[in-house]
Amino acid sequence: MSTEAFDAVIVGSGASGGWVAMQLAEAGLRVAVLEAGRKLDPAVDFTEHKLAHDMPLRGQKQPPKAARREQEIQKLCYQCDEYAHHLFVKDTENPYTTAEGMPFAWIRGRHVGGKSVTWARQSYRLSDYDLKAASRDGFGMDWPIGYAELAPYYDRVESFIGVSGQAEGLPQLPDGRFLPPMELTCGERLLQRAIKDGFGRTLTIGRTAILTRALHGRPACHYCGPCSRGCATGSYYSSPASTLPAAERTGRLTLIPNAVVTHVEVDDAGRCRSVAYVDRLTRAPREAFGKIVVLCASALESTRIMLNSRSDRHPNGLANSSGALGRYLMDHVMGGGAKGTLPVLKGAPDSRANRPNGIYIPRFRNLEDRHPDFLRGYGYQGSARQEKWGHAFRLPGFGASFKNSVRERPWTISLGGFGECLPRFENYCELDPERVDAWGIPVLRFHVAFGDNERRMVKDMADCAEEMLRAAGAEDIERTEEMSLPGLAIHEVGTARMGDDPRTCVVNRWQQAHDVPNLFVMDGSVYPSSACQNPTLTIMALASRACDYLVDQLRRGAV
Amino acid sequence: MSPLDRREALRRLGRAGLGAASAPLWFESLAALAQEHAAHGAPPAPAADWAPKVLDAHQDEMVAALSELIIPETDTPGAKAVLVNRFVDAVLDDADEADRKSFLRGLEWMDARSRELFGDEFLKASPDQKTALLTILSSGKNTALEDQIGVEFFAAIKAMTIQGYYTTEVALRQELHLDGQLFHAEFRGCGHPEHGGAPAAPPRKAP
Repeated sequence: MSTEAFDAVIVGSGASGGWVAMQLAEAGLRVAVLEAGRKLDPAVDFTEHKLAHDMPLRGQKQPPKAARREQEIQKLCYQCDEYAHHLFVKDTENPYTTAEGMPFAWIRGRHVGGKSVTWARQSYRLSDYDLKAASRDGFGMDWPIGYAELAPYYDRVESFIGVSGQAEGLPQLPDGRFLPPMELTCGERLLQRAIKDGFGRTLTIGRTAILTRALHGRPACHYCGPCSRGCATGSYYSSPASTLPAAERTGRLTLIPNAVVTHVEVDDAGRCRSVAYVDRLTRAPREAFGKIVVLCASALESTRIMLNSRSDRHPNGLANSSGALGRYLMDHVMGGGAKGTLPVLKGAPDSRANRPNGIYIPRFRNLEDRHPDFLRGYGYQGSARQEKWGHAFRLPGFGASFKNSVRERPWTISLGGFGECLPRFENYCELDPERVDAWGIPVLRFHVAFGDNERRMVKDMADCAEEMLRAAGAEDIERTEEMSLPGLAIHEVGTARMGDDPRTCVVNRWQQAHDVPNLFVMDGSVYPSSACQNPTLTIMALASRACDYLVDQLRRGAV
Repeated sequence: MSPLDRREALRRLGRAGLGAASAPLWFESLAALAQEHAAHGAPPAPAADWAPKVLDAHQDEMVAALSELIIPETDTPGAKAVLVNRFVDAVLDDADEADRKSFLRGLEWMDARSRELFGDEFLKASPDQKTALLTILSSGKNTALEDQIGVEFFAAIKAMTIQGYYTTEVALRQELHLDGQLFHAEFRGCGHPEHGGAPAAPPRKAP
């Protein structure tokens, strides 16, 4: 292993790590990307074109027996199934602990591309309703930047990764640089009209990082459907299909897979000197030296690395003089929603193609009015489609009459909320003093629970979903209002929040550690508040903005 | 195993097969293979060397018979023709021990109940008798304590039969008349003015 110094050592190769690698390499920096997992082989690892009867268990909803025992937590994610369980970590190698009575689901993927390979691709901008929420309702802390500062970076990211969507002109969900939108189904049109007429609410097609036309050498989507199992054509944004190859083309990228980072080494001045890691395969200790260290390991892994980087200069963990590291952990709250059937559409045929996208109903709570029961808001995701045969599980009886009844394929419609989770100091993670992972690295211990605000929000999600479905003519409506397990939205953010005050925040408005000028954190850990939109697009826009600053500082010799 | 454990085990087993139900997006891709494979339509030729991993010969025969009762041959092939019994055996082989035991106990229960009611094991009952027993178990209103094992077993094998049947190429093409492809040039949404959609636009050119 060479001891040459890179200009920047980036930890993590997912959505943000890939972006950071590309932007820094294109700016002329020599970058190393450390990735804890292996390189995927699309020919073997991507299974989106496998059909159920190609699989021994016909695409069973859980991993096969042997893998199931190693993925007790991961299998809680609906995507961790017979087709794709290998895109999730083994919990037996990557354990964590939780405080008594505080279950937390930490869903992870360790391979080149990280969760950008399996993400749900929904891409929404935040607005000042989100970034300045504390000023509006008094809870928590504003983001140190506003929408106007972030907008150009959203433009930049969307233009490169490709986001299809429909402009709606809504202040709470700013429009982006969209590729042509995917189309709505009949049932979605009915709902769209009903909620516009009845409630003044907007339904728009999901804004998704899937190409509806070719972009930067990547072909358009071919509507096979199951993106979460990989994409042979790279038609949705994932770092291995887009940003990492772009970084590679500069000739300045060194991608190091199987590099399980343990901690950051600092010099006598307390500045980052190198990133220490263990070779996943040989277990040999290694080091990557860099002028700059950028953590993009995912919100909780980046925080874990900082917590595990204790030194004389940083006794409570790297960049933790504030004591805020690990604190204000958030995940979107789910569980409120409703589903039903649309008898009015009987006989209206669905498309044969598979739209890998749903609908979005942007936040309508606590914008200009004030809801009596809770702060902040939520957006709905969902869809309406004609069932194929899944409804057979719900039909009574057996025999020829049963078989015939399955041929009547009903239209079903569903909505599920994704709600903002308030940032609370008491929701936190720390290093477990006893437990280590397969590489001897201390694991995280979580103390996380949703509170009353989330609980009341989930009830409202169910109430409003029910009334909107009813307005659209839905029948057989079933409500759900059981709060999701924290972590299961896989939108975990916070724990190294950004802000101007070094006494309360880990990184500054440029995502540079207050305590360590050559340490940057460019993933979801910097979120001061969670908003209710899926976080990846914003994480990338923030990273792009921070990279501009980093490059500028480096040129000036300021870091 | 307590009755509650057993109920939970059967529920889980039924649900394990529910994958395609909750993820409809998988489904049409099935059609693709059907289109790619020229020899569609014919039930798969039974592999001569297949042997069940979990079920014994009697149990295997029962599963095949039950699956055919649930989804029989009509104007299209039924569950037996597409070898749902082999799928059930594979699921049982993969299942957790408690779930597998619950299922096998359910099969035993079916024979025992059949002997009580009809004087012989399930496979030897007449077609009408078999139908009568399944009707009791599938009514959705049967709360008789003596039938609970059977009610739960029936729900499990029905879910497995649905999963095993509709995930075959045969069911896809012949039963559902789906001939989707893995590759589509576009996704066409609602083009009906009465739903608020725009009138159908001419097809876009494939990229």
